[in-house]
Amino acid sequence: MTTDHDRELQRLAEAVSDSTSVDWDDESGAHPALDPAIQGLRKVEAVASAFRRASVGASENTGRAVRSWGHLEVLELVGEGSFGVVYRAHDPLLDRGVALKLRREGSSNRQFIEEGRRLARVRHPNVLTVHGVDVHDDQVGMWTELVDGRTLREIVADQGPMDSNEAVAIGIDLSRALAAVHEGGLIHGDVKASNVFRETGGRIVLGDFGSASELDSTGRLSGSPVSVAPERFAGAAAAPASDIYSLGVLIYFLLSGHYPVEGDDLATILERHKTDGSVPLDERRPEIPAEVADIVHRATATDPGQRFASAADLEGALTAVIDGPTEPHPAREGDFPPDKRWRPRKWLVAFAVVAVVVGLAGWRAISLRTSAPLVTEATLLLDTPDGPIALQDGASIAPGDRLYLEFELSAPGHVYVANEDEAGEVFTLFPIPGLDLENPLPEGRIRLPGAIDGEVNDWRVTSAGGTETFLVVASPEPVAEIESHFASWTAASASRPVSPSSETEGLVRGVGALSAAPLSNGDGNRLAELQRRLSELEGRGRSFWSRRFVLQSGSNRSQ
Amino acid sequence: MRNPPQDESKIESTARLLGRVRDGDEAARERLVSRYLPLIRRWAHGRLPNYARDISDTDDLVQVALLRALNRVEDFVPRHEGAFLAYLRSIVLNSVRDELRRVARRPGRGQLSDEHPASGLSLVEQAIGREALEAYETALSKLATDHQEAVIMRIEFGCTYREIADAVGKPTANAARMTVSRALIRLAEEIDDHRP
Repeated sequence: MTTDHDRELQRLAEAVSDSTSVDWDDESGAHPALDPAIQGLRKVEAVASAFRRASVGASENTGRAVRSWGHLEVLELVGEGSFGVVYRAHDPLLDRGVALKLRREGSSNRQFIEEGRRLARVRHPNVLTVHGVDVHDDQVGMWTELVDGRTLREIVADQGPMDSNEAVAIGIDLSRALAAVHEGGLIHGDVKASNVFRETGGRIVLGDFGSASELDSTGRLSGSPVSVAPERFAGAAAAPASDIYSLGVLIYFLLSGHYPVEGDDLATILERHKTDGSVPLDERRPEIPAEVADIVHRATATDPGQRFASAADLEGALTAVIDGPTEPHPAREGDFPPDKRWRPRKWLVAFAVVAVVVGLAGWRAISLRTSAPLVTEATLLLDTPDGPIALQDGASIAPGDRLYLEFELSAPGHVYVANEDEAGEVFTLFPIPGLDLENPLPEGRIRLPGAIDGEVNDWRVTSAGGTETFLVVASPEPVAEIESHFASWTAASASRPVSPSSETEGLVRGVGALSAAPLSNGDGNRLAELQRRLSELEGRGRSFWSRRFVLQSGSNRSQ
Repeated sequence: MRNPPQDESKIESTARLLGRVRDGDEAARERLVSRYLPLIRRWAHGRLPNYARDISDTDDLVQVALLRALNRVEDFVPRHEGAFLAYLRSIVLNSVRDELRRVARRPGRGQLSDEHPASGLSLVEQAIGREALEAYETALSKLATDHQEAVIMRIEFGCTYREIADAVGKPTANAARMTVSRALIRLAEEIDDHRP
């Protein structure tokens, strides 16, 4: 037996020991000389698996800890992630169930801790929440919220492909999750059905950040080959576009039970990427609405430049579809090219139609545009001593919180920011007198409200009172329709002294304007009306970009 | 004064407790029972037949076996904690087999088993078949003692490599990992010889 053979057997034995999945038929085929030993290990694996399942049953029956790790009581093995095994555990201090992921020995401690740190930087309802990372008995572990549910892979395997509304709704949640991840400066790197859970009750949760990397990091290539963006195989850096591709593949999978590019091995998959060998979604499911198929095709375009510019854009497109009327995909001869891939011109036509419909139906967060987006990566952030936290729809803010907006302007433009509280009172947040920045803003990375006399400022929340809606609009030209409204609304005050240590630091936004109790169901009605008018103007050839953020203001922030 | 390293402390602790049990120290006996009972109980859950898997039956059987093992502690000189765990396992396994024979002789049980064959099988047997489990036991018995202990601790009791290292006297968790892997490869060779 050669040393290589020893190594192969060692690897398989470790897989058995660590309950890592092994394709035994593939292993036998790849190493015929080792087949007897591989078959023996396969039998051992069956025994090991039977013991593990029996132990899990015992834990479930008794509800007693099988051991402890730090202060946590480990109850049962529930699964495996990319770098460790996952247990259901109980935190006796907080008296709550948690998921405990213990690093698989042999993987890097640093890598595991990094995963925890990455996850901890992202706080979003659709992203797994990390409670802590620690080392006990030389074993690194991370404990997170315990998600009671099933993976999307299990659901599809059990129930078959989903209908388009269900898949699109999941796509919207995951787009929001990815937007939060990207806004945290991270790339997930392994978005796939087995890494997404549907909690009992319906919440969608993106987990397993074992493959996550910093933005623009080339890093190692990991993830399932059928879900990995083709440019990554060629050495391209991890980027939001690669996650968007994987999410497109996931939606494709939810709708069809297949992947756009499939193959028995990596070489076949790579070859099919090169030869445009993907199978259009509408070939697998002709009844899928054309808009949905178009979105999936665009998200999974081979050329990253043809995909959605951001997860928020993908969310906007999906939201437009699910809120608006959809038509069955007609058999339109010549309507799609033979490869049925997304083409920008067709997409824009489809989107323009949907945008108007959605504007009338009541829209949440959409991008209105006729060309390349003027604004990308728009993020409303909470400024904290530990660093900024990206705020997603539904996030909580509290009096004293300091907020700012960041985005990328692809060309000089006029930007307008307003806020409406639960009582329906609207405040102009930008532009306002006294700020260093004024319209038109220059191309590039922008932070609002920007500085006063060179000192960076934030908007500061001054009182609590229910739903807070923020509207951001951008246009290459001044927008008289907006400016007339802005002039009539209360402007945030920039007259207070600004000092990093001052209690009044930050732009004070409408002192006393936030009511202690809701007076009416404001729900951003005036800003929604403004958006509606903009969408009508859009239909007459005007070009805008807009986004609405809806937050919850309480006496305490609870994220 | 410097505290002993954790692994030394653990081995000493088990050995010391066993010594105190030999001297008739009831508190030491209680401590050993509380230490090993949860682990043995969990393991036994998978080895008991369906009809005896009720939690009270498992507890009764495991506690009786554990106390029986401690009563015979004069016969056992632990090389390390892992050996003691393997010793406990063998005692409990014998108790399970005794229980199965006793129940099989009891009127009515045979009929029940005939009507519901699965009721006479343990969870592990239900999963892989009685023959496969017997082949595993036979192959396991042919391994060197340290390999047997490593396999039992990892595969049957689900111990971590750190725990295994502490229990079998390996310097690091990675060393224990290597021992487990080698033991599994040896087990695979043996088990393949015993099953077509």
